[in-house]
Amino acid sequence: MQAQEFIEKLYQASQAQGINQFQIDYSQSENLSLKVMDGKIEKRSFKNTQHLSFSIKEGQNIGSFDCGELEEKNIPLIIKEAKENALLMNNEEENFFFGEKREYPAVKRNTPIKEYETLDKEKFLLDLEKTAYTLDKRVKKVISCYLNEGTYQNSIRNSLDLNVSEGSKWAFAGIYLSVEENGVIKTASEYVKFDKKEDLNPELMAQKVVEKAVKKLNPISIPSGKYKIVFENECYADFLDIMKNLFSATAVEEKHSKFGDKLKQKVAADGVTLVDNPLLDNGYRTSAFDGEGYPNQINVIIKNGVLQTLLHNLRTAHKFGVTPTGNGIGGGARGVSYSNFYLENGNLSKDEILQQTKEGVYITDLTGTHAGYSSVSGDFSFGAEGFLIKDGKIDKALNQLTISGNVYELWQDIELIGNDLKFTPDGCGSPTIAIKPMQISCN
Amino acid sequence: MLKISEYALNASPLVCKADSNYQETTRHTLLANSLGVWAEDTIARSRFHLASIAQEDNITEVAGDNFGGLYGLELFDGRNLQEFAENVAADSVSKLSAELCPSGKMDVVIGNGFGGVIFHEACGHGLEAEGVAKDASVFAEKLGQQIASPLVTAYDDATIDHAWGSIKVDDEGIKTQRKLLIENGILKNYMVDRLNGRRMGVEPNGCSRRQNYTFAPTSRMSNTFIANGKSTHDEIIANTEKGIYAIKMGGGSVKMSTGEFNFSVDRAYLIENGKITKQVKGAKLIGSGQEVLQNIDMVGNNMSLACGMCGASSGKIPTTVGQPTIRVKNITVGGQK
Repeated sequence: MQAQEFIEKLYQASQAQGINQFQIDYSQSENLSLKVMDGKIEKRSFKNTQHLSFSIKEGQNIGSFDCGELEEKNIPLIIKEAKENALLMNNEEENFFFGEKREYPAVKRNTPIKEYETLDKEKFLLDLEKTAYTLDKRVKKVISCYLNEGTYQNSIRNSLDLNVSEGSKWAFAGIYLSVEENGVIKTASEYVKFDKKEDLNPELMAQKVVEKAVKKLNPISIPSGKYKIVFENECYADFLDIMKNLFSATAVEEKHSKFGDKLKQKVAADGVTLVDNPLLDNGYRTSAFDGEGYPNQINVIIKNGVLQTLLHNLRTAHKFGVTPTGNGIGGGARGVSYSNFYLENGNLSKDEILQQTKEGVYITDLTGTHAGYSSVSGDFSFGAEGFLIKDGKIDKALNQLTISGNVYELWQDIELIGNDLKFTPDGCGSPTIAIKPMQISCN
Repeated sequence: MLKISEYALNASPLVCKADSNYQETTRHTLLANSLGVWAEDTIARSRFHLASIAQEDNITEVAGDNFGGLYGLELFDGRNLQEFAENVAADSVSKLSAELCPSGKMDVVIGNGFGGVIFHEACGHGLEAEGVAKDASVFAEKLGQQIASPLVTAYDDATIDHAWGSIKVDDEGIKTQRKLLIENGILKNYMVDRLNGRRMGVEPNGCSRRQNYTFAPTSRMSNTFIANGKSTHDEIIANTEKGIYAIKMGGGSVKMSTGEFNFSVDRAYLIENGKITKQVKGAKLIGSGQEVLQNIDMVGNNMSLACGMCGASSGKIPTTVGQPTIRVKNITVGGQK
């Protein structure tokens, strides 16, 4: 059965059963995946998945039932299960569906350029792999060379007359390889989103990744101790991704963030401005409404070091007595989501930051970030890769590192902010950042 | 579940939040292929997790523990849930007064059970045919060679009754088995799926797994553990002059192609003159898997298993890690001090 027809039948069946408040969240995605290995196409697969979540509000609570199979015979079961789930819950605060008539912003999401449509994708990957091997004889193995593309569509319809939908289209190619010299193996990766012309050039991409990897060869060790730190822009963006939950109202209520009572207080160094901007032109996570159908808006979370707002869904906004910020997940889910989440640019170039730092450690990669961080205490200890900063310039590569500290202090310890804002594919962005001395150990 | 949360909240006035989480799944699979395989299976799996948050002045700490297996609600039968909850609560409270962990190279004693995650990451992934066949693993072409200290014998065994990572048939329809991976330090077997087995010219051995039908299956671990040695836990501590006792590991990751790993330690103590002294926090272990395996110089006799979720190219799957208490010489420890 077609999705729209199914949604209509489910909608009517819910009304016929006299259910007052209900909502249907539907999403559909298509995904093509290509992989190349040793000059051959190793994998070509196509995935088409759909997901429907039906929610009912009973009293204060919203209960949901999720399914991937849209069969008419399942409709009574879907309604029954959602209702039972709603009745089982005993939350102290009220949950909501969104139904106000509101204007939705016009947005332009990041999408592949027109020329991508005629790209020979298999050839692109084969050329990418081959070039990587020929550029430098220290290239040991192209471990992964792949391309994914897809479309995503989602819609929300509810009994309060909300009926919104949105779609996106994306493409992504990546390469991951190892290089070897004097028995030391190092790895590097690179990706493109095909959103600019140079992304269609596999040679250029191969050059970048090989250059990145060989720079890491012949690493030296440094004694453990405190060092001034400069984070590469993309690396700090990854770090932001890990600690973004500090700013969600749900983390505050779950005691996973200490920012709950810090509104209008100084939580970060001067000059730090942190934004969640779903309306960003050409952003990877740009959209017109959030998971609850609430119209999106730009949220300045920290302005010049001062905490301005937490990120809310409909439920937490009501509970905290504020207006929603458009960060809901939807379908009765209680969490908060993020869009294009980034630190705003400062004035300094990367070179100026290195010059002013003079001596320290330049961090390019963080590892083990899923485990080395407690949002409850704010303490973190990550594996890292990086280079020595000597005489204001990037010097020799360093052996495996750990970097440790506390994120609440880290926000206060930002000293210099670059002007080279860059986003990761996950939608987090940062310029190059310099931080006061932090504890480093080196293998 | 409400009762268990209450046990933790009542254990100390410093515990301000206790979250109980129970998950139960039933997985039905049917696999048919042109090789003549027709395999059907149904597996029930359940897991309980408790997190306790303790707060004093401006310091907040969290501790958690879990148990799970191939059960339904009978998972809870015969367990002392009050003791379990009180232990988790006590962990969160004792962390409040932990000092910052020192940095540098030192001997590390790793606790049994979830301590096995270090073997899972630093060695287990490197023995999956997915990486071996592509020459992307540091353990490729090392069969028959001494890759670990002679004290190390390790298995991947999907056939353990009720263990969290057990399966009867793999996701390519092959009956699962107990595989000896390392015997007295010598590499004996890889974990092999059909596709990579063909690349390597060896038979698959029943360890092809995936999250669900939307993923292509590949070689993965099930219940992977270091077998018992001869030392007792107390002997290991008493024989360590200076080091860290990592009683409970957090998670970590490893680069299969270089063997470089990093692990967080969730609960750690200093060992001074053969005695466990102060609790420390924020410890991170880094190094290379190959080195750690060779540097294991004591293996205990108290092997136990612990549940985990493992993510890789064929999705997230339940796996078990395990080991007795072990000691590793000279690991780089990264702390905040």
